[in-house]
Amino acid sequence: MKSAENAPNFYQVDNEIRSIGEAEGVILMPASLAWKKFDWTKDYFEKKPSNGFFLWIKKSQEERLNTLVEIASKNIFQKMNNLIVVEKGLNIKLSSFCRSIKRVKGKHFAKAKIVIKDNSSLDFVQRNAWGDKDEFKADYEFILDKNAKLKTTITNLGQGSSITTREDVYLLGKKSSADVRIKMIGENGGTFFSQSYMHGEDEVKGHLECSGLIADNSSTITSIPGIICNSSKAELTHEASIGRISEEKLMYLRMRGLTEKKATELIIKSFLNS
Amino acid sequence: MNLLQIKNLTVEIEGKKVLDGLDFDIEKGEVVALLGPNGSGKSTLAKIIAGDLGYKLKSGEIIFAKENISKISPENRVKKGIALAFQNPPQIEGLKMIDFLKSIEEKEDYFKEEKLLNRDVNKGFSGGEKKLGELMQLTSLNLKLVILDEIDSGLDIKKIGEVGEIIKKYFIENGVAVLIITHHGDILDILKPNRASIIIDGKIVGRDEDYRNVLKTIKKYDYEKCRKCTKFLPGR
Repeated sequence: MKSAENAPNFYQVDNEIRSIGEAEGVILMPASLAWKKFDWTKDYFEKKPSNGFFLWIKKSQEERLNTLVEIASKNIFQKMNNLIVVEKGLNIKLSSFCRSIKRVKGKHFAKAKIVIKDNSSLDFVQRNAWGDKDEFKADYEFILDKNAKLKTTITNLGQGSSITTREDVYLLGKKSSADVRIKMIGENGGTFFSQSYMHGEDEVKGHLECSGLIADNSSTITSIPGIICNSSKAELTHEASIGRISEEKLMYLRMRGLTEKKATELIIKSFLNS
Repeated sequence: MNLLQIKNLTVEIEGKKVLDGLDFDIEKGEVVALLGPNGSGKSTLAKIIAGDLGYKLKSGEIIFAKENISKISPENRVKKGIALAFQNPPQIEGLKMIDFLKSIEEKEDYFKEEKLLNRDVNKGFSGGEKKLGELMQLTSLNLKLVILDEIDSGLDIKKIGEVGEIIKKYFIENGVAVLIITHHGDILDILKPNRASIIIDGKIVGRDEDYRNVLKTIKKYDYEKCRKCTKFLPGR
């Protein structure tokens, strides 16, 4: 499996697209070009996008597709407007990674729509890692058609960053289902305001889990999960938890010879893997 | 020669003395059993020696290999050769045992229980699996003193035998000193400690070179008798 770091299908640094890879049955291009080329995309983009990508998947893929967007220069403002469409009857794995790679005081505002059509399944991993004084805002909408399936983990790491996110999962099609996990890790004074909603119609199934880990005394996390249900046949659940790094676990790892820093890193890593 | 020497150790938790002017020592390569009733301070002593920062010393000092380690961090105590097998280790979801071992191991050849390697550390472990997990971790380190806190609790006779053989092979036969905190005699029959000490109300009240004498007395008269038992040597 290729990771987002070594072979991205879409790779952007600051506001410059560095590379767009090719894969059979996949159309990938800047969002602005898709707006011109495919009229139907106007149903999803609220206005003409200036930045971001359009990923249209028409065939099942053996390998995980991935995108990587980085901020490498100071005071960059990335305004991403992404559209991902998974056509009918496909099995797709997709990873998306956004980050700043040094102290840049960057801004990354992302608006994304992810459409999963009839009988398709999407395994989607979104990782966001932001540093000191970065500002990150994200608004993701997932739209699931009939019998579509979504399994997603969205991880936001804020090391001194300001992070505001919102996810809406619309289970529109009959028998569609979603398993959504949102993870937040606040370090070095990172602040989070996160809203996550799951909207269910007829005969759908969904679970939303939001969990936060606060690694120091100066970070804060606000997490608001919600389920909006319009049918007695819909089965929606949610849970949320925010906790500090357990002193007991930290001491246990240190009593195995790990420094406090390494023990903390291991606990954060285990939180991400759990 | 003393490997570990504890002098006049007093520890209070919420104003209550948990260890009360305790003196204790272990020689290089010595195997010592520490017995005592619930709440006598056994586990506190184990954690204090291993450097748990949740406990503060009110007075006294801990000398290890001629060095005062009272203020040394837990990780540096491991580097000096001290580690504790927890009675109830915390579970760490998302961390595979094999990855944990790779991050702490100091040698290549150590005890590995294959079926636990790809499971999350202590997650859903049975009582016996927790003990084996602790032993995997401790045998991967270069130690001079291992402290085993209730390593035999909740185990059946067969499992106690298995655990006892691991302790013998990886520690005792390699000259590592072992402090065994226990309620039971079964594991002592396998490890055959050089002596047994008794702790009551945060103090070592007696010792005997033959652990069987101690067990017999406890079984017959309970711990309170040990306090006044003239056949035990005083202190330490």
